[in-house]
Amino acid sequence: MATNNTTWFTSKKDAAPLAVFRIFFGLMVLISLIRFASYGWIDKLYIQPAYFFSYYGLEWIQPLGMWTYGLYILCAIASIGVVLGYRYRLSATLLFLSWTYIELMDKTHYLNHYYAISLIALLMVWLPAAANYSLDVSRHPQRSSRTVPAWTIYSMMVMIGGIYFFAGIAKINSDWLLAAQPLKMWLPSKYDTPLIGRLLEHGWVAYAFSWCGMLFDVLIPFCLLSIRIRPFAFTMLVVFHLLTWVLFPIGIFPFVMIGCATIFFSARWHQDLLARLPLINRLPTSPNQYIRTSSKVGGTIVSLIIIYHLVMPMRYLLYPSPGDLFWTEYGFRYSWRVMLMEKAGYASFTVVDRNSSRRYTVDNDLYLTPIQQKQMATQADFMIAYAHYLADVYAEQYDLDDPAVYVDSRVALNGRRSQPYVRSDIDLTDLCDHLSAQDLYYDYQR
Amino acid sequence: MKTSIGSILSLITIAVLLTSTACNDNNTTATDTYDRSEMLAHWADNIIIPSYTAYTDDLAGLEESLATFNEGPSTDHLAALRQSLDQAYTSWQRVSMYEIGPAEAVALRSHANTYPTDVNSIDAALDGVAFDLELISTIDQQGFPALDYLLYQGDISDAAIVERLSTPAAAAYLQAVVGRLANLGREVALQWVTSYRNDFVAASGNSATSSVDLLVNDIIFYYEKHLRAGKVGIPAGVFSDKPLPDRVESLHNSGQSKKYLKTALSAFEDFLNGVAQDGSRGPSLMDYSDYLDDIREADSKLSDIIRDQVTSAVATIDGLDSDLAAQVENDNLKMLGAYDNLQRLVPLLKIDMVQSMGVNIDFIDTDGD
Repeated sequence: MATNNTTWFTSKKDAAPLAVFRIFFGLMVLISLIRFASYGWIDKLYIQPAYFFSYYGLEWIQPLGMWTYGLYILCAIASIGVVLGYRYRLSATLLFLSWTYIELMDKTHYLNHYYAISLIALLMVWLPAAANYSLDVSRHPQRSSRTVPAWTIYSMMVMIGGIYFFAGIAKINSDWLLAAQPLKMWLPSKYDTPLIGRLLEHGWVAYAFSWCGMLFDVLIPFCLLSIRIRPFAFTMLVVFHLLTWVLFPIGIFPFVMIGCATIFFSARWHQDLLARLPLINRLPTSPNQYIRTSSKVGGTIVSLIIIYHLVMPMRYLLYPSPGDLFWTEYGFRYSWRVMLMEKAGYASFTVVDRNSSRRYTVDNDLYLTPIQQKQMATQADFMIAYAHYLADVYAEQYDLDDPAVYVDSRVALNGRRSQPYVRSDIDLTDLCDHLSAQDLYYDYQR
Repeated sequence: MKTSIGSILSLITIAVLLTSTACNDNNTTATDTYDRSEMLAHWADNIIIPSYTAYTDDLAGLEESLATFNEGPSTDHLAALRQSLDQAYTSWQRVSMYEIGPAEAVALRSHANTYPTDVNSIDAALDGVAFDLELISTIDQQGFPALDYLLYQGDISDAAIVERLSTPAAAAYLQAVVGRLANLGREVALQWVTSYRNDFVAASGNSATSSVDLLVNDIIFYYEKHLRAGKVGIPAGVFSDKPLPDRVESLHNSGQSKKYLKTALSAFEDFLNGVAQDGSRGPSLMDYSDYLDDIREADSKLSDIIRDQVTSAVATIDGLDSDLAAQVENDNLKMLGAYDNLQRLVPLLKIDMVQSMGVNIDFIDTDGD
């Protein structure tokens, strides 16, 4: 009877796919850290600015001055530990914590790619990805295993598939499908792309890209599951990501996703790869067919992560008028809403002293970097945080007792003309950053 | 196996065909790319280079007038020198916005027009203290604002000014300021003609380093910082505790300050519309914007909205005193009104135009899947 307890869910699967995923994921994190540092972005984004936009409830997470470099070094060391499978649980935990801390330092630089890496890293902590083909095997052979419970691999498939699926669901909106926006704006300006550049100026190309993109994202997780169409699906996936890489400034993310998608491949494919890759094929292999490598706690946490992964993208439905999602951005982040909007704004702030009625127009260049100004001008939560900061700065500088801060802002969304955004008649210092909806927007004219 | 591959393939094919035919029906326009090289060539050959030529000609006139003055200082020669200064300062307003390439390399705008000027250091130089205009710390002791002070000097008679400028120290300083201003202008103009023109036109692509992107960023920056804020907003006290009438351009001859503002705005408007130095027209940002609006089947033309806003700003400026310092002191509300009208153009340029043209602001990763 006991053997009947093994289902498709708990059956034993070869550990190779998780090992390949671990090695690849660690390498990509390492490469992206090196790339980030080599562009001088650590200094430019996290050390130079005078002010940083914190996430709701996480104001205590701030860049660490020169120690910020240490954070990147720690993350890089952790990623090498993950690649080698050395003290894997500790390495993966440090990778998750340091990477996530970095991403939470300033929400100006929020990117779905970075969030994806945080979330995958968190899941990795709880998966036996170093059970085989790792330095830990030689450290503790008795704890290593050539097979792992099937659910550990499935959970990563759900993670990767879910990212595509929700990105596809998010594309089912009228701007994307009926107006081919924002691609209709973006593609013509890529006219100098080799081979396809000339094509990009045609309106129908934007429509074709929009619809194919949506269908691709929604269908690809299911296509990858099928052994028969997997080769074709993966080919499409590579073409799709290379195209986005050529057309848009999205860094190394296309390669991260291409690599992650191999989790759907057969154990045989992964074993072959591990055997062929130089250096990697010298990683120790386990003497044990099966040793229990996952705990009840681990399994529970993995289930919670997966539930979070499946629920979080749909939370925007809880806000009033979810149809204004692009305008208010309530529930926009952490939802795999990628490339959906071309949103540009302009925000001019006025500080008014309520006692003396002295007025000052703010020169944003004095307080924010260009990239911070760009993000601030299209998102109300940034404006509220910035208004509080301005009130403090001006109170000190001009000795004001009771400063109020108003904003005159306009936003252009997906090819529409710019229109008034946040209400100019409310004192933003009366508001706090809040998770619930606040009545601070002008109506969105479609 | 065949059915599943086939179904995906056919789904995608059908989607492509459906959308392409559906769109071909109502989208027959714009199968050709906008010729950005032609636009860049027009900007370089018919707007920017001729503006620099006019500017350097006026600088040569200024040098000549100074030579005449130095040979025989007199109130007549002072008047002629002032006349030359006014001409050069006016044509400066038509090149100031092109702080790109050679002008950017020598920081032409900072050297030619940093105001308020450092009156104390200039007085010291007139009294014989050594000076070096090559030092970056002396940008506010040279250029047009320094000449404006030297040739007008506030509340003393013209005869007294002539006397003060007749000393060897003063002659040397005047010569140094005019010489440096003229040399920098000529250097930039020469670079444009000999080499930069071709680089400028060749960089016709669409990246953060292409000419269209760079120049659009530069002229918007100029409009926001130097035209809107520098010439109007700062004197009107928009950014400070109180109005600052002593921050107007051409402070010591402030009767010309409105003329310089108007010339600068008209040069800016001409550039948007592709109006050449000789009055002819060519491909412009507004044409490019119309072309893009056509491709996207926009309901209205952004160029119309921008032109209306410029017209409205020009109208409020026309209503100002020719002396902007007097305007600030006597009726600052009008000056603030002019600022507001200039301000309204900023989001149209910075959001609508930049977005429409896909101008890159800064190189950084953005979101994507």
